[in-house]
Amino acid sequence: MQIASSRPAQPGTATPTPLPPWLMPVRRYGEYVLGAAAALSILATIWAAFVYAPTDALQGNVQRIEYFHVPMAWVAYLAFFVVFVASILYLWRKNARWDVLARASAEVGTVFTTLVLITGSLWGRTVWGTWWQWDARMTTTLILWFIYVGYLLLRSYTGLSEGGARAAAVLGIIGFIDVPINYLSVTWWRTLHPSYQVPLGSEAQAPASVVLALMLGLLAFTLLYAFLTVQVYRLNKIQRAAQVLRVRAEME
Amino acid sequence: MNDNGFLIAAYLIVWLGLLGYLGWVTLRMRGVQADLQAVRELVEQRDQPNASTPHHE
Repeated sequence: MQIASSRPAQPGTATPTPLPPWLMPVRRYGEYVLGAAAALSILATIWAAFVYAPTDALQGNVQRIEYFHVPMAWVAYLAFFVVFVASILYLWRKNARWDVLARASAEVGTVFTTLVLITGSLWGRTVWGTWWQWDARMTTTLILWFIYVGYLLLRSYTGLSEGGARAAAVLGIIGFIDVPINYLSVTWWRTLHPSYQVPLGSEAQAPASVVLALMLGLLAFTLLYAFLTVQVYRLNKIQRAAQVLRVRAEME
Repeated sequence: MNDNGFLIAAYLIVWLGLLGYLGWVTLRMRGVQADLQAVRELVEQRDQPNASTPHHE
């Protein structure tokens, strides 16, 4: 991607329109490494989920959905945390790069939340015999999904305007309140949803192979989230660069 | 559908969904790059008449 011409300005010609430094093109080597690391760790997770981890005695093979469902839920939390922090930084610093980052992270987080809802529903159909239950965890996840779909719709309707960015930042901050509620819902309310099974204290509740498969999944999906967010961030950045150039070209 | 069917369906949805999303991002990227190119051409066209005018110092 090349935004501003690198040719020296000729006498009598207008100099290339400068862009803010953060809109200038960046080298992509790091992205290739990130993409390769994400792909390798995903392959390792698939191997761990299907070969390494034992079959659950009660749930059977369908329990293997957990090795993707749980890491995707974690990544959604992470994505919305990034939206929260970037929104605060945008309102504080007034630097559009934070707004672009918040928008990218919200989009990727919404994709993961959608997949969490679908995989959870498929798991629930097998284990509970129903596609959906108005259980605290599931309901707060659905609310989370609606909040960030609303965020993306707001961004879509308001375009790249400053007012739209400010309104979205406020929504990104307020919407994050649902994340801790969603996380703690299994302890605050009586729910059907399984609570934490990964041993965090002395009393181990899950076999080491299950914990390892989950940890691999967490790593793989975190890398995938980072890779996707960088791509969408770049996309939004180019969009903004094109808009900045168009406005300047029309004004000059 | 038996339990394995649900498992396969879940994995297919996750991977097809993520691949589809990546493909959509790639298509949008091509679109905005074409848009950026169009803006650059617009800027170059705008600068063209200036290049032919005599420059006095």
